[in-house]
Amino acid sequence: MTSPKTDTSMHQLHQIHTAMGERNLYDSVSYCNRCGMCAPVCPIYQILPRETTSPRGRNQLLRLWLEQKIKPSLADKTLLALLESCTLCGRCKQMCAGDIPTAEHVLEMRRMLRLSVLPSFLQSFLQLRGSHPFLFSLVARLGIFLRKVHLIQIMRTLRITRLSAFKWLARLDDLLPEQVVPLERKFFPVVKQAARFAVTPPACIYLPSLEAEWILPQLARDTYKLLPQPVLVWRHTASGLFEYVYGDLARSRRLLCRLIERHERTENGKLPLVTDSIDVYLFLTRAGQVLSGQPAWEERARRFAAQIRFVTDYLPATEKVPSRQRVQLECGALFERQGKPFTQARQILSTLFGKNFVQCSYTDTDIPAFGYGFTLHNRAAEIDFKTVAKIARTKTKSVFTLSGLAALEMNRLLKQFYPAAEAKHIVHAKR
Amino acid sequence: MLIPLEAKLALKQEVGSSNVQTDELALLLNSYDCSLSRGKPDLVITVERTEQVAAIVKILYKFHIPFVARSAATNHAGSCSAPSGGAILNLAPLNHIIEIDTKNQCAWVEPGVITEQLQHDLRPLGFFYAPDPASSKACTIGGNMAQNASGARCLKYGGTLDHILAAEVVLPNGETLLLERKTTGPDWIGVLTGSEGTLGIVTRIKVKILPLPVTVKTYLITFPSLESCVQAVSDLVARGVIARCMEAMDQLTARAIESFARAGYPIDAQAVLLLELDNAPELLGQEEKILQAVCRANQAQQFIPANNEEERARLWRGRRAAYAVMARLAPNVLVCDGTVPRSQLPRTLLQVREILHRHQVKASLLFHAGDGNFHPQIIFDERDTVRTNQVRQAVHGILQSCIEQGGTISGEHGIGLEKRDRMIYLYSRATLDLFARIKRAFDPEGLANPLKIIPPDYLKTAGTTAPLTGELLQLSEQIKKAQQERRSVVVTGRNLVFQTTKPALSTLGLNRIIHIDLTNYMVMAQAGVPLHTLVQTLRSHGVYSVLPDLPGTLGGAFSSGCFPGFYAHVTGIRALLADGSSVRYGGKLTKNAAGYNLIRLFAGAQGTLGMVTELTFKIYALPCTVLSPLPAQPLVKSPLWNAVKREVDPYNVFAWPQEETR
Ligand SMILES: Cc1cc2nc3c(=O)[nH]c(=O)nc-3n(C[C@H](O)[C@H](O)[C@H](O)COP(=O)(O)OP(=O)(O)OC[C@H]3O[C@@H](n4cnc5c(N)ncnc54)[C@H](O)[C@@H]3O)c2cc1C
Ligand code: SF4
Ligand code: SF4
Repeated sequence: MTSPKTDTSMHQLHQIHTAMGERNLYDSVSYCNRCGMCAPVCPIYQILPRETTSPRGRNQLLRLWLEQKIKPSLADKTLLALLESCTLCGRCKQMCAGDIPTAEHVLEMRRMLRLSVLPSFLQSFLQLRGSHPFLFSLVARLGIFLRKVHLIQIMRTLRITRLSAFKWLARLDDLLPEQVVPLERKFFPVVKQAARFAVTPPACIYLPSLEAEWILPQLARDTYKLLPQPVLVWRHTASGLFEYVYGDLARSRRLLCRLIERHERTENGKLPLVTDSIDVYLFLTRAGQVLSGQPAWEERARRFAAQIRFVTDYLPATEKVPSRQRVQLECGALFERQGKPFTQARQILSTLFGKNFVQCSYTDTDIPAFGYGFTLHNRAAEIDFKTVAKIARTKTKSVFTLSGLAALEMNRLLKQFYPAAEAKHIVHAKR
Repeated sequence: MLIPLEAKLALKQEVGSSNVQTDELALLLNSYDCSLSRGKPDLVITVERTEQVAAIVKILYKFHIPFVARSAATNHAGSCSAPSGGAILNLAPLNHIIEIDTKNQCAWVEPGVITEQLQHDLRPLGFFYAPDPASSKACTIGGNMAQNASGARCLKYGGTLDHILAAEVVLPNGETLLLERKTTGPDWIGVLTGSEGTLGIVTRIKVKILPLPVTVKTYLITFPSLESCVQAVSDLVARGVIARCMEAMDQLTARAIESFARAGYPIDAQAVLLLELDNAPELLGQEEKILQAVCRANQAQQFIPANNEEERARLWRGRRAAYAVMARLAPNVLVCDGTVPRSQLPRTLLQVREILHRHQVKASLLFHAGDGNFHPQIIFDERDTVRTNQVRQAVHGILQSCIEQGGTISGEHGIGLEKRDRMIYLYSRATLDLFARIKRAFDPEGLANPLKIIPPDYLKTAGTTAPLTGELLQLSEQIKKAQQERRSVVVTGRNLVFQTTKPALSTLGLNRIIHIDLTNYMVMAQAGVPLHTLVQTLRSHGVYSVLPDLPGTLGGAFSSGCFPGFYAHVTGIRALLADGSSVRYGGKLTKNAAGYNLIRLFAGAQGTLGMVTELTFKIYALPCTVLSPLPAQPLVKSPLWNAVKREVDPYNVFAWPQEETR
């Protein structure tokens, strides 16, 4: 069945990835049979329990739209709230018997309306990483420098960061560790790579995430050490994830195509490509969907997606860690909360920590994915609080995350509400 | 409908303007539930505190605006759409567990508490809440009460009805009442449970909680036929082993599940039964032996016990996947809900498969084998109207076949809009009219969830009851005459409890034990049967009930209020009303969610609302704990009783034994 209104613009996806294969948008949303099972796990519905903030409401909105029963407009407050408030966490999908990808539907609606949810300066800055990596690096270093000379602190004292245009700056400041040391080139033996690989071909490619490269060098180092050597490291490489979530699908596709081409050129596209960020992993494994409707690319994208690996694939967990402290897994991620990395992470933690690995209730919230905290400050704070509550309630000491960003966010919260616990990326589980 | 500005302002003042939504999108998003029905409201009011409900309802009453309570909107019946416009009251934010009292084994909750949330909070305390609808991770206790929801554990523990101890309800005029389970007078909580929000809005609920069972054992058992599966279940129940759940499915369903979930379900058997026992360890051993013997006697093919938590989880994974399998195959899954006497299950299920085949409709077929409740899960695409019509036809066929087998058109999902038009096939005009009178008594203006349950044109379309004969006809004539002459009579049995000297209408002529059913373990008897005769006769058939061998009649035991513990055992009732008409509700059914619960209306009403003429109730193969009578209490003439009395018996034909009569 095709949508009554077929839009083939470059700004829309053609197919949505579901457990039963690829479907067009209208079919995909029609599989939502309004059972309502998803609502109680949606962090936004938990705070505002009403249909106009529920995953089911988001899907039904799209359906009404595609069936032309409503005229969508950004002036419609209810519509705007439905679209803006979704954290794209995919918790609803996990509860859904039909595996409905609500987060993807929300993204599609945002794209169709050209709705941008990030503060514009932050948006432009982060976009530079894909378009002008050199400029990005320059601005980032400048930012780090200004922070070092207490400019941000001064702005905070002068309450400039309370102005809505600068609120994100305070949040970013809270998020970052006191000392930000970008990963130095010299750590990876990249310089001598060409010579080394002439003798032994690389075993895999490591694509460090933005945070591993810029904020959490230890994450990059530990990941690197886990991987089968020799490792080919692709630095300063944007995947297109940021553009996919926060903006321009066409640009996201270009970046992704560039990555695919580069992967194909390297050892004939046979090398596994490893990432330390669950969000990047979930995005790259969807390459087929992102490039659907692009005949030249679809097949190549699928081949590429099959080579994507998450660090948990390489994390050995054989013996128990002699610790009596409770640990939890923080599943905050984009689009999805089930699949191989999640199962692996659970297995790893239960092998390492046995009974001290605490399982949470299905309604416990987690860290809003991918810097979502920047988008809706007021609501994010409530979700944050609930997230910490579950850690405090179970007296957990260590929280393991599947991305560096989630660890940063979590540590920011823990520092504020429950300093007894600490968040770490799962690669550090054995330390 | 047009909502007056004044009403909107008053509502906004009460709940805050952000909690009153009137924009088109919000209205559209509140016009559905999990059924195919739609009904767009004119405004959506989000209620954040229970106290607001009464104030809101008062405003709506003043402006004559209809209203519909909505919690999680997971119901399958079209119960919470607003077909005549008006207001939707979003009760989802009322989600606080107010108090858990493990000493008295109860908990007070707000209606929007998610069923699983209560379960989650009770678990660490060593307790659980027994009703377990499959939707418990999303549905609410208020919604459960409104639909009388139940789940796999229903046979052993009962449905929501059996687990509500008290409730605070806001009547459609805004008045707040606290209803408790009293010994005399109708069991109002029983009437309210399953009323789908058409009688008022429940704002606080006191539920029963139970200690967690010590040991649970799970088995997967396969049978060569649906008959042998159902017979095994009946034999087990008769031998006093009430399993915690008995979830069964036919071969097609087991195959679909196995290919999807790989839970180790055998695919060559005609029927697969997932059975769970819970009890103290020593008793569990005995129960397991009986189970094995019963399974052997019924040609069970495979008997697979779950030996550890992992295996148990795997077996349940299969059962739980049953819905997901279907949900992934097509955009819509219509979960049909019918109930028949357990003995009729095999025949009905074969008919259902035949109906599905005839209408070329794909479905899985699951059933709660213990209580005769089955759920074909039909898949289709509602965008294809031709197909959708075929599905509707098939559903009608299935419900009709339930009615023909002495069953009901809903065991747990309710009637709402979806099955409303089928009610005329299940109930006579007189019974539907009694429903309408109950509704009018609670809601004279017809504002609470209008147009649900009762077909609007039932007076024209519903059939009449089969003509009465013999003693019943005579009694009916006498009642009719009394009403015409504006006389009162007192319904009596042995006249032991109140020893009235007023003109009496005796049930003693109604003294037949109509049927002792040893397959369904139910007995159907007339109201005038003396308890002594009843107990002796049952005993001579090797069966037992909870009623004691005491002077008095069956009708008296049920109506006097001296045996409140008996109500839960009664599954069917017939009664004569003040106009001489005869009504019927229920039957040899362990579950019924179609219409207002007339059993609970007449229970303990001391003959003041009608004359109970026949009861169907459960019996057991082993002696069970016999009830002791409570001292007789005079009827409490609450405002609710007065309202119902005015509607049901306006000329006071059925007088209370000790009151002044004309
Ligand atoms: C996947 C799935 C599985 C299901 N499995 C089962 C099952 O196993 N057993 C079963 O019985 N049902 C089942 N259902 C149906 C449904 O979950 C139940 O009917 C449930 O009780 C509805 O609760 P709710 O909170 O969603 O109520 P809603 O759908 O919001 O409302 C139901 C009715 O209750 C009324 N109502 C709600 N709150 C109040 C209140 N406070 N006071 C008065 N009236 C009120 C509404 O007006 C409406 O008429 C299932 C549904 C789904 C989607
Ligand atoms: S998204 Fe899935 S869980 Fe949510 S209402 Fe739709 S079908 Fe149900
Ligand atoms: S993706 Fe997360 S925030 Fe968005 S609707 Fe689903 S559960 Fe809610």
